[in-house]
Amino acid sequence: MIELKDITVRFNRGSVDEVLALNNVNLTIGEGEFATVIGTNGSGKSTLLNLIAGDIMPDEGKVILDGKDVTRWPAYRRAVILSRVFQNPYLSTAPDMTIAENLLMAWFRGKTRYPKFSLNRALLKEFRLKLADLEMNLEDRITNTAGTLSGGQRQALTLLMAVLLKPRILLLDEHTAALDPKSAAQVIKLTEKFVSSYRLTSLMVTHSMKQALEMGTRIIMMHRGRIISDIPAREKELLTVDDLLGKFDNIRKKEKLSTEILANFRRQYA
Amino acid sequence: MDLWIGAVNLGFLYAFMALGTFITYRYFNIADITIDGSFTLGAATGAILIVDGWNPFLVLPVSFLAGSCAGFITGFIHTRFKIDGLLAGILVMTGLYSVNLHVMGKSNIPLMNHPTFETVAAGINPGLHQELWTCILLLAVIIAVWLLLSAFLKSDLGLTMLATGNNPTMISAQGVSTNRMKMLGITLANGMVGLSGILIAQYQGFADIGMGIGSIIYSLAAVIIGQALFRTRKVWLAVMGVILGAVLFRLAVALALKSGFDPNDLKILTALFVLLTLVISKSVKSGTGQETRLKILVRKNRKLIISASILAILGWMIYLLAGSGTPLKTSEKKVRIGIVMANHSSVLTKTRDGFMTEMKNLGYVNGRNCLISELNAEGDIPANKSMVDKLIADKTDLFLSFSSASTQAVVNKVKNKPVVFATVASPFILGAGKTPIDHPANVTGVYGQAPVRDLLKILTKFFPGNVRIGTIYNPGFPNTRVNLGDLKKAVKDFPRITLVEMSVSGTSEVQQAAQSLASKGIQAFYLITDLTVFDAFESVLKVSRAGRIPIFANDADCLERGAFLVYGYEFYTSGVQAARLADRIIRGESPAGIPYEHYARCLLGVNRDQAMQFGLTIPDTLVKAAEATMYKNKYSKKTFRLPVRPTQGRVARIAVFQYTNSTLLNRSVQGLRDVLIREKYARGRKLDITFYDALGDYGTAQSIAKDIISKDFDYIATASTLAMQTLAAHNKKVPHVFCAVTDPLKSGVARSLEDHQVNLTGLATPQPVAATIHLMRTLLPKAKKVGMIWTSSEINSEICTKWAREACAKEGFILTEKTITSVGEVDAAVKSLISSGIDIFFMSGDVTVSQALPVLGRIMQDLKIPFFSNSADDINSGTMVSLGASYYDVGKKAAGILLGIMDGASPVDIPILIYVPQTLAINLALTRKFGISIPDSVLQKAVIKLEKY
Repeated sequence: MIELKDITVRFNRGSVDEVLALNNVNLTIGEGEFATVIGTNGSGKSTLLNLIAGDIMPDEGKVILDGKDVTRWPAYRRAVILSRVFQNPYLSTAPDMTIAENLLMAWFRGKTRYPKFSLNRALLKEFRLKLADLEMNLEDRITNTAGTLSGGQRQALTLLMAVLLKPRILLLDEHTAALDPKSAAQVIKLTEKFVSSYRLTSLMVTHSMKQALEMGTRIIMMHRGRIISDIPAREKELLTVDDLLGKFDNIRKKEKLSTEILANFRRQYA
Repeated sequence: MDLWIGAVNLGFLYAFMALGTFITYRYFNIADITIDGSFTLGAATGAILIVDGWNPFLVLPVSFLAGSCAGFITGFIHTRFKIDGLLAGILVMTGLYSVNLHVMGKSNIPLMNHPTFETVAAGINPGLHQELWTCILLLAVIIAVWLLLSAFLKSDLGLTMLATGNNPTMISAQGVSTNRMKMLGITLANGMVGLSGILIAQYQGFADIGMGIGSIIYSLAAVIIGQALFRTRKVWLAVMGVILGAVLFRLAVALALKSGFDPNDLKILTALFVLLTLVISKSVKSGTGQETRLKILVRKNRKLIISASILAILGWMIYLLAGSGTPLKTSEKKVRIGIVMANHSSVLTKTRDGFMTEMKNLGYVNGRNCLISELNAEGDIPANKSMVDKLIADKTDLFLSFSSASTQAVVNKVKNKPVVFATVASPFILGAGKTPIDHPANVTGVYGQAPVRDLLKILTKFFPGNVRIGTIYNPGFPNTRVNLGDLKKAVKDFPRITLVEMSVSGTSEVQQAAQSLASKGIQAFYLITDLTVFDAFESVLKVSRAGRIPIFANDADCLERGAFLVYGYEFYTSGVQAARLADRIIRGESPAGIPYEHYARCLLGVNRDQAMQFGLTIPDTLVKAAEATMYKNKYSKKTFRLPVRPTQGRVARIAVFQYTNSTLLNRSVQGLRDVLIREKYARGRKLDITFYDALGDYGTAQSIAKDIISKDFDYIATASTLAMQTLAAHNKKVPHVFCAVTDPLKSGVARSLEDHQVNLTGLATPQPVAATIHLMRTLLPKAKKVGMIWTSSEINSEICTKWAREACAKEGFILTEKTITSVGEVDAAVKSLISSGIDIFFMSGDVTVSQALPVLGRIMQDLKIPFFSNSADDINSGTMVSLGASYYDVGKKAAGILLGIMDGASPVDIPILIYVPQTLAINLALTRKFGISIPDSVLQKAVIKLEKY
């Protein structure tokens, strides 16, 4: 479903600040797989997601989604295949538009929009039913603007918008990182529910090792623009947070990093 | 009342534009300045098509499309090249200025005599007041637009557009190309603006290159007022708010005018108003962060504040409306005179001063027996219209308009009150009538085009050799374009003069343009009447002094400001003439019977100080003729009293008709005109002269002839055989004097010089063909072949050619002839002649060929083929030897005959006069170049000896 071939991405190309954001990355994620991506700051995990979404074009290599070579497709064109949820809840909804209108925008994901009036009673009813699934009482506030919602509510709405048309691929970019713990838990719950009931091919970037272990079928560990470890489902079930940290410890030894940095990793990930 | 309804109507029409801005500003947060250009583009495209005969409603989609195209380009630049929206708009707007000029072909298209939505509406008027009826219809239209646009914005596509502006990240994640959405929005918005442009052009009666300037501020004001009225996310309310905003804004402008606000301050007031509403709405919007007490106060009482201000404005309006309904009793018997001026340029100020002074002389005292109100548009073209509305609301009895822009606004609007205009180059291009006597019944005035040709002639006296002259002009003014056209045309008749042009769009560019001209090596500045350049005259003067490049100007007032030599109409006198006309109308005369007057005073002025500084010598004749002098730092001017017109005797109406625009005929008509004009102004004879030119087209000549006959002129004068024939065929009654005719006997109007059609007489000017060919033999004893081109349809040419055949046979030349049917074929004929190997080129009496004279002159000079012709005037256009009449004298003589007939002579008693004021002109520089020696016997006879070519 997702296939990355020999991907290299450089930032600030040709300048002294040149950064090798992705270094010859190869990755294949099959249909129905739910992979989580973890890694240090600047390891390239967000770059990886943005590359698949089309926000970043690779300097070398190919991006193949759903069997199509989409390497040169702009982001909006890829929306036919994939949908995404951003870390910042404000990025995913139009604040001045109602919940219903926001959902309508998602209802046409990847389709041509005409000067027609599709937001009729039948569709509103359908939207209400779907909103009820979120268990946030949004179904009663369908004519309120998205700007009046809390971060958690917004992110739940965003998630619903992302899965409304059952995308082939779902990209989640640390989508609970900016939420309070209670909202985060609810959004995680919803994520698992949608992914499993719709059998979505998903890629989730996370900062939390715990989340990475509890969710998904596969863990991809990144460091310095490379995939350093790809842990399949069987192996994943046996792992603990400490095992994951151990893996980073190995890198430390290889790269002779100071223990302080490792302590930093612990604080951040454990 | 008209003022207010007019303002509402304007508001409705401007609402289309404001709705466009609403889309770009509210949806994409771009203040799209493209609209300054697309507004004019819509107007220009539509106006051109209406003039072309299109239905005024059918042009609306075309204008919409034109505006859309402009928007599309802005959208493309903005999205594809990631250029800031404002900058992209500025780029397109700037470019559109040139495009619009090209579309219009000139800077102003009058729609007065064409159907517009208003005339169509008038046709179905059930009997209501016209402005009110228009208002009702527009209200219906605007309601439909309101519903349609609201519906569109509420549709799936409209919502997607909203989301694009609201959250581009989100909408592109939903598979929408934000670039495409933005382009769609900007395109649609500019389409609305283009539509607004043509609607306004139809409503105000013309499209003008400057009409879009400042649109962005006006429509932003409307959008912001709308936003303040309804702070809602309900689309239909927001759209209504914008429409109301546009109307309220126009009402506010009307109010400012009504309350006697200085229009000077209108712009800063608008800017402050927009700023204030922006600040208030921003502070209300920002619910987060710190709020000052004032902001909170404003926010909490927003509704109260807004309703209070609207109430206050409405109250004020009602008060004023009530006030305007009841005229002041004390002023009942005073004539209300309203003056509209386009700007504060010196030309218009002088006109105004002349008017005011003469009015005083005529016994009008402001406040005692008349009430004069003056309004100045300060260069804002739409403001002219509002000022007219204000004057109408003030119950003005007599309108005066100084400048073309003001005249256009007044004439379009005022139909049942007298109008007197002054300082207009050509009222005809403004759509105010076709000729000085065929004009709207309520309009008369003073006009005239600058004497370009004469000044060029004077200029050549200072530069004996070839001379490069430079001119600066602003193509944005209709008058300027006319004057520039005249200059370019005139320069063609002076082969020694090369004209370098430089256009500017504002006073700030004038200095750079002048410097650039100086760097191009010009020897003199030639300033045509251009308000922008005159306003920045000192910039030109700086360059003039630095480079010792004298300024020749067609504006008499420039002398005092430092020009070297001026020759032009004096605008002070224009104002005096206008005052006289106003006086006649106030005394009860109808403007319908008062022909348009030409400027009465043409002033020659020389700067003797500068002559010394620049090392130039002013010929004594000029110093003597000069009526104004700058000498020893003192400006002196001879006083001029406009002759008082005799009160008895009726006006004699004369039609002057020339077949085409050739040097020969132009000179004839000039001679004729100069005599008549002198009669008119210096001697006070009451004449109305109308000039016709068929521009070489036979069909046009026919219609002109019919037109002249249908208009019952008292006298007719014609120049050229064809003009004479066309008129003589239909007119057997009105006295007719002809000139510039080779052989009237062969043209069927006379059997002998004495026995001719009873109402017709004139001058026969046979070309001295035989003498010319004999001269060829004397000068070129070895030459064999003579080449000639003539037009088969010209009887005069046929005669000359016949004479040429006989003379050539006698002198032993072989004559090679080529016949053509139109001036377009001259080029091919010349090439074919040259390839057949001619030794001499000869042109005689052919009007069509003479149109190509300057080109022919150049070709022959290049190929070293001696060029002979039969009109002494041709020598300036490149002939080597010209033997024949000076047609200026011919014209003067014809005028003499005409005056005789006016004084009571009967044409039947006047024999046709054979008149050949024979003049020999030789270009000695050319004969030397060609190695031809001129015998002394010939040289002594030469009246004109040209030393340069």
